[in-house]
Amino acid sequence: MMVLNKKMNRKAGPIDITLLVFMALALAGGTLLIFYLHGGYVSSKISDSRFLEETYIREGQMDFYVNEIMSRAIVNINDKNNPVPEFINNFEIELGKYKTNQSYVLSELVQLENISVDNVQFVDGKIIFLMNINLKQDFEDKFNVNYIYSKKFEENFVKFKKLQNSL
Amino acid sequence: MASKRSQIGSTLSWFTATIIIFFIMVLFLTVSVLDSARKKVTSGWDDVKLEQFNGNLNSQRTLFNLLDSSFEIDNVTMKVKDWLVLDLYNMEESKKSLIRENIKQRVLELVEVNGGKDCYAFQAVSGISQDPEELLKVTDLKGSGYVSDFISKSSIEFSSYYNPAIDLRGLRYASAAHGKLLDRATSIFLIRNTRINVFGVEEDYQKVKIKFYIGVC
Repeated sequence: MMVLNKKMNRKAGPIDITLLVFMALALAGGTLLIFYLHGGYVSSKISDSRFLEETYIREGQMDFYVNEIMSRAIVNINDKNNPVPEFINNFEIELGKYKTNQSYVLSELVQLENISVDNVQFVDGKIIFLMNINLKQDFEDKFNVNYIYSKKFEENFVKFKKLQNSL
Repeated sequence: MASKRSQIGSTLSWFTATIIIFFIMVLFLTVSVLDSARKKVTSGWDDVKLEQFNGNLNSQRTLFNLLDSSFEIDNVTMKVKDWLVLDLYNMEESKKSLIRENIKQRVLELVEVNGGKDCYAFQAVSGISQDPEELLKVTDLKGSGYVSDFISKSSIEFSSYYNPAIDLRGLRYASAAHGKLLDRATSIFLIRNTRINVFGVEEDYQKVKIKFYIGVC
């Protein structure tokens, strides 16, 4: 029995060294596992206010064009009691003037086509035009901005009509 | 003797362990490098230069204020945007000059408000949808004289580099500097209520393209 134990001990290595090797292996393996699992947090998402500045500029252009179209669309309205249908008709005509070679000077203006009575209200002598506008921009196929905003445009119809009659 | 034997055994164990640990470290390093290379976010070709997307919000806001301001010529008071949709091509040069000076005066007032150090450039071209510079590039030599004459008659233009008393060398520099300011400009279209231009009747309504810049020189 003693002889057998001696033979076995001779083959067995020291426990501390074996432990050291396995702990080094565990440490390296664990670290690699953490790298692999949490590597996704290294994101390629880039946030920069300059992307939005470009979008705000387009928003400014869009608002400017809508205000211009509205101020022109109310000029030839005859029915003072129910100006909405005439306004919609005039709006579409004025919008068409912003086309060059079948495309609009600002591509987002296409969203103003086919506006309906749901978008336009006549309240207290004012024509109110409500619209959800979506501005999309791609930057070299790498980044894109999708900016949606709701806007209420107003034109004082009664005041304008009084001014027109006094001239 | 027994101690020596145990020392040899221990050394051999450490030797083996060192080799194993060395290979573990090499393996760790290799896998780490390969893993990090796979997750590279940017390099060389992938660069995006944001400067080219950098708009000019301040110029745009100032331009909208400018277009809504009014001035009077020959007892007629109109907003700037209404003066600019008049027939510039057939307008008398003296009247066009008055419009230019009035707009410039308002721009100078805005420059003063900002501390007086800003540069500015303004260009309003009526009746052509392309940039005047681009149009001149694609026009052949025979037609370029006519096109440049058309552009000059149909436009109102000024900038902080403009000086009537400038010599030819200075003019070239001023023209280049003016062009650089316009490259950084914001733009907007005004609609003229006509389809008739000097070339006849067009399908589309005529537009006035306005480019404006105010900011650092």
